[in-house]
Amino acid sequence: MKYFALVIPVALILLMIYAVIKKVKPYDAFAEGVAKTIPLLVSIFPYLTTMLILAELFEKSGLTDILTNFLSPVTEFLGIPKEITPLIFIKPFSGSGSLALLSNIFKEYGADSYISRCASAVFGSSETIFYISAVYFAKVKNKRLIKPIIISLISTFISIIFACFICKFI
Amino acid sequence: MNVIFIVIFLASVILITFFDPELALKSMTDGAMKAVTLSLTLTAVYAVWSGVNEVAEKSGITEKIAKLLSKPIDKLFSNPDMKTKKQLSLNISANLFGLGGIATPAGINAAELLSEKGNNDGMDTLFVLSATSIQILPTTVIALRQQYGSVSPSDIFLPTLLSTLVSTLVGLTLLKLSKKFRRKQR
Repeated sequence: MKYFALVIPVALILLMIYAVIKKVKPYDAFAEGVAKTIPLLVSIFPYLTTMLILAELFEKSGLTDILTNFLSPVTEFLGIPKEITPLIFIKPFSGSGSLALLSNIFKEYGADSYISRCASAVFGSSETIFYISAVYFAKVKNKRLIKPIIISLISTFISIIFACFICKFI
Repeated sequence: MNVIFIVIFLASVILITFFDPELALKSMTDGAMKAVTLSLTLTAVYAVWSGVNEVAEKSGITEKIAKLLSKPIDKLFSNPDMKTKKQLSLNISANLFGLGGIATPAGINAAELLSEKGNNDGMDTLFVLSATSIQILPTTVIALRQQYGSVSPSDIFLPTLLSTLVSTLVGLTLLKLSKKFRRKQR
């Protein structure tokens, strides 16, 4: 873990030295890059905001609890502990929300319990799918996202079943 | 996306109307507030990486990474041009290392370039690849476990890696199957 922290600073040093050798003007190039930030944010902002409003409604309305209660017989049958089912529903919508759930699970069951290890693998094996759809495709005009969203949700779900299974052994 | 939006929106707001009608507007404003703070954070993160990225681009390193990943990218995204390839390879390699600050802007550019070329299958692949997460080291989770007193916080590495591999492979396979199915229908 300690060595991993070295990767970024060392890569930055090498990059800058290489850039100077290649006769790139580092100051100007860097500033040119920074200039691209604001237009990027402007294009992301509408979709990001809409999605986060939706995520907040979804979380606060208690829809997750209803879904959890309704579906927990199915998920438990598939080997997913009841305690992490809410995580499964929040994760596609909200990174910060699911991180809060994860820390709650750690607090309640201890970081080394089966439930917590399961939750960690579930958390790490997927992304906030609806955030990706909002941000990555912000500049795309003709959005046809239904198919990849469904496929991503299905494969995430399969990997969750797999994660809960494999955490019993390693 | 519009269907998903309206279904979740209506279901949530109807529920809220029943038990706490004042929560409706409050949670929407809270959500927007989160978006504002997140955008500010993202501006800072992107500014740093965008600057670094431009230096890498100008000195020709981006192109080298793109050439390194050329074969798998050709296969996954049906031979995109060099410009697109650069953004895709940046996106993929940054995602592998969990550097969202590089991955996301590159992903946005890649999606735009792919859509300009009408490469819809490529966009689907980009989506599934990013959504199923291909990060090698789950740094956030490891840090959090450490914080909550885990004996060996990094032993989650292997289960996470295996499950994220499963999700990515299943995702790509399903995409391939869906393409085959579509062809048969024609």
